[in-house]
Amino acid sequence: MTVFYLAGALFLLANVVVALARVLRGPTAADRMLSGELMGTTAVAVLLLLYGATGIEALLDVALVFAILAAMAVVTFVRRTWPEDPAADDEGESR
Amino acid sequence: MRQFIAFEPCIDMTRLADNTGIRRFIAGLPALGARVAVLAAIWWVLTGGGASAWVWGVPAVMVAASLRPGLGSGGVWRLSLMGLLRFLPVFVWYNLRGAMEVAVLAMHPRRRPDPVLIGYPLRLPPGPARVFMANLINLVPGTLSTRLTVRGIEIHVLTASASVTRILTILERRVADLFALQLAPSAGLGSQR
Amino acid sequence: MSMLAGIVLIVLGLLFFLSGTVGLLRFPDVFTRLHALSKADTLALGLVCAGLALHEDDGALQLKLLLIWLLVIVSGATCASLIARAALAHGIRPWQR
Repeated sequence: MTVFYLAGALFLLANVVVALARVLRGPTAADRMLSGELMGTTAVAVLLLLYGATGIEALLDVALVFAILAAMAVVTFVRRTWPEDPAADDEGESR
Repeated sequence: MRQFIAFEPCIDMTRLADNTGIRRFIAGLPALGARVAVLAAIWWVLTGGGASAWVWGVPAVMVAASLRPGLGSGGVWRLSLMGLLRFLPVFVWYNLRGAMEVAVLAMHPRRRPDPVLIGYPLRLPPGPARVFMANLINLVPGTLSTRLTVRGIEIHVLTASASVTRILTILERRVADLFALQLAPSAGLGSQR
Repeated sequence: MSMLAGIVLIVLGLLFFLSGTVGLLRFPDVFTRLHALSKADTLALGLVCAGLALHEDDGALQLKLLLIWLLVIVSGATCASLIARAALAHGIRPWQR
């Protein structure tokens, strides 16, 4: 069973590495943020699988915190880094 | 003493002083009780049912329950248990179907998305039910809500087809059940209940 | 029996994660990519949670897995609309065939 969980976690890590291509290609800041969201969800899944492999219950709490932080990251991105105010648009990062 | 007042938004002494304040406080008690019950259940799950964790749990639940609910989203969530039972199977089925459709579209070597922006007139009354519906739309087949407008909701549809409005109509009725609300009658459809 | 069912659910979840990534890379614009993420990934995590819950016999831990899934569903659905609205406000027009 441990091997199965670890193989699953490795598969998900490989998945994230492939998704990094979207960070490089963009083209908009939102596309890059999407990869960030994908990584957040995947990190939660990896932690869950590591819990399955090791049985360390604290990993579930770590997964919970990751889930909350991923949501915070997106909200912060939309409200601060990429505000809808067009005047703030030419700060370099937006396109 | 002054700085502590800010931490007691629910038991506001100035409001308790007059009669309407007391009445409003008593009217809010069932909602407060429900919040305490939900938060205590969450605490129990988070701590794995450990008895010693309640030393921190009781104050944490009390502080969280006394804060304003909904974080400023406006309106109170009043849910119906029967409505929940009717809502859940529909939601699970649509979520499954939505994920499968998008997975097939992503994996298929030749098929491409054919997206379009549509407006959907909401029949739910304004308030938490509409926000819930707008978020729900992101999880069902082929739809992504982009903007809530005065009359309805603007939706990005992944693959234009007639089934989208049918799914949304069914979903809206289930959300109305969940929140124990009546849908406004709409032209051509009539009252659904 | 529940062991096998759990393995099947987890493998299905991994496949949905893969399809979400493929969608993120292949779909033409930010809106269509949001579709791939908000639907495929939340279900994928739900399947992994359900599979692990089947391998688990502690009720409190099963509920914690459910809580994690609910949290990801709520945040995933909300964030998808947030990003879509921000993208429209920035003048990004949806890709059309």
